[in-house]
Amino acid sequence: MKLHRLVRPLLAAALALGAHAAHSQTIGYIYVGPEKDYGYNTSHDLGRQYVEKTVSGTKTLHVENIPETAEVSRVMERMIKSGASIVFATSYGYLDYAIELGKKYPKVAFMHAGGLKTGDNVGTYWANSDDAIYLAGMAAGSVTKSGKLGFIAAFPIPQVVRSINAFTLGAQAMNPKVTTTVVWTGGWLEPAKEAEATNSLVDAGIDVIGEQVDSPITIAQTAEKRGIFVVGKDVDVSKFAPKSVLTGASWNWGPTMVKVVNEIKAGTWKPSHIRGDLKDGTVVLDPFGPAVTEPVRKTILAKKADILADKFEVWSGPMTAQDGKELLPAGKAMPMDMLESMGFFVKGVIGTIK
Amino acid sequence: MSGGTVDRARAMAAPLGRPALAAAAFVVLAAAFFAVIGRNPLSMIGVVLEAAAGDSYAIGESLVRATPILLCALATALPARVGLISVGAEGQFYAGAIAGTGTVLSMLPTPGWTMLPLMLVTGALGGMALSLLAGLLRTGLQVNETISTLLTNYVAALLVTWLVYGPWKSPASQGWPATVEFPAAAKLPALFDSRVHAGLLIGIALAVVLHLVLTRSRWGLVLDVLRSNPRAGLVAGLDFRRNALIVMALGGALAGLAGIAETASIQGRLQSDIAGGAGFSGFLVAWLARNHCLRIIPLSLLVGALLASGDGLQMFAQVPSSVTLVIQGLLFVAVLLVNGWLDRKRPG
Repeated sequence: MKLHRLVRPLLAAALALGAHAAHSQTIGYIYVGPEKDYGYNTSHDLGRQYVEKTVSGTKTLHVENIPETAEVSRVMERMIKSGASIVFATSYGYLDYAIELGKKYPKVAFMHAGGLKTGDNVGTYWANSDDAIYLAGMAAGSVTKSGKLGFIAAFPIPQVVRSINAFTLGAQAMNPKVTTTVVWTGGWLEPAKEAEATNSLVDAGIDVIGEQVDSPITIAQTAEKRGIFVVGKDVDVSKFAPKSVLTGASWNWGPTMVKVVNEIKAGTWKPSHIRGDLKDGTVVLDPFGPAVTEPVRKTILAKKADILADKFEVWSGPMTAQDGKELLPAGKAMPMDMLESMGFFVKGVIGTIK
Repeated sequence: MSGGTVDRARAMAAPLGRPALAAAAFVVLAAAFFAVIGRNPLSMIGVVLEAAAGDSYAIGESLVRATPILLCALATALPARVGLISVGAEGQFYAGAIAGTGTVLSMLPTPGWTMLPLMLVTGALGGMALSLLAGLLRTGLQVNETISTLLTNYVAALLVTWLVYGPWKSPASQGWPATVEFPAAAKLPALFDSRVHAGLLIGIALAVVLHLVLTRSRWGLVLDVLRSNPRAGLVAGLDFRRNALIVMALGGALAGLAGIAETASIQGRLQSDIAGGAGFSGFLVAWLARNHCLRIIPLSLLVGALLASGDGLQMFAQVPSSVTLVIQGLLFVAVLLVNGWLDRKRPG
């Protein structure tokens, strides 16, 4: 290859960047959105930085804005060809491509965020935010004056549906009459639609908004301008909207990632579904904003203590579906598959799953 | 080799001079940009080249990305031969993907050897149908084809979304909106040990055939007259409507073929967003190539390579994805500059 020979000398210079450093372990990270989105992708990138800092001899590659199509196969394969022995595929739609590529590269370990399938060398990690969102929903339910809450969400997938239900159940624990109006944006990162949705929800009399899109930042800043409240997710953005943010459910991926990387290094890793939560610290309830009163804080923290002590379970009956049918009788815990493939709304949610 | 052959070879190669010059201008602009953002231009361009064509894997991935762009560029260039500006390749891509996927799903679970040809034909017909809709609106009701193709892009993309969230959603996908995985019988043959598939060869062959037909045949001349002097065409008794419908239909078929080939061979399933802007990249390529079918080949390879190298640039040079977008934009600036400069030098 002529071009190949031509490129090599140039490459020597490029390699000074250290992309192929021989003796260190290389880990690839792929993000579906911008690394600096102050949301989902930032949370994973904070994890990446933590790994690079904590595990000695580790070098990371990272690529942002990769769609959940066969594009990601190319990115993963390029990472592997560049020496990556571990690939963190951090978006839901990457899963099938990771499993396919895993068959071609059996010695590479793939870690997928949130998937429900594993392969011989594909494990998944995720953390259950439901408890923290439930607690944040309590803050929302206590602050609302109109009794009307909103929820701005990207896609009707189980992870998002769970958040909407947990948020609503938490709010109803403080004020049984509240409703949650759902708006789908049809994209993880649609700042214009998020701002528009926030404004129209405010115009409709809604005074607290929860969200599960890439980042809470647009919704929080719009809410701050309109003088209403928000509950965040993924990353604490209260410094950008100090009055509006009530609290939120943030990720803390670093320790989980370090644990996996160390296991892979030690050869003890087996692909599995690693699931963290509020208890193990992978999910954090963000500090309360000024709008949350002292008695409400106490109530929420008491509930948090109950959750940590296994005295309270968010997903347990009695629970009623949107259409009034019984989902769970009193005292019954929700079965795992019903929880993980959740395709229904609870009573009080206004909107459809399409 | 006789003199005639050499002349002919030179004539065939002449249209490739512009892309070569544009590529050179692009390297200069990209180097300047890297210098401005404080990076070593030489090593950064080395990284781009490495990611786009540094080894057989990188070359393969560039060709994979170029394949649908090539077909979509031809889908744009063909209507342009009678002066129609279609921006509908993206939608026709999806229409082809839908129609071909419908064929595959209807033949499961017992795929035979007929699946691949039937899938490709129905895929092409799907793209053709959507494109003909715009063609008929234009010839029948004088609806501007640029507007109608632009709007049908959204319709087709949303139809895919509806299908994969609804009737075509795979029960095994655990909530992820996509169809079932296509069987091996639906995949075009792969070339070498790569993801490159026969769609590339089909695209290149079609580009050459179209070039010959458009430049050598009587029909090509008819199209030229209809484009450059509609009134003369009218006097000569040429049928604009008929020819407009033919080029729209053929163009749509090419984009539809791109859609189903990409769906089956690269994505392996139908889901939203799989076009990745191939239709729009194709439009730009056709425009940069001035609807010249041979010039489309190197330009789509160049654009495909550049798009495929974006992640490598991020990975190895630690730049944000916005830098790769700027670099991709600079390619178009470079081609514009070269075209503008050559046209001033040699008007006409």
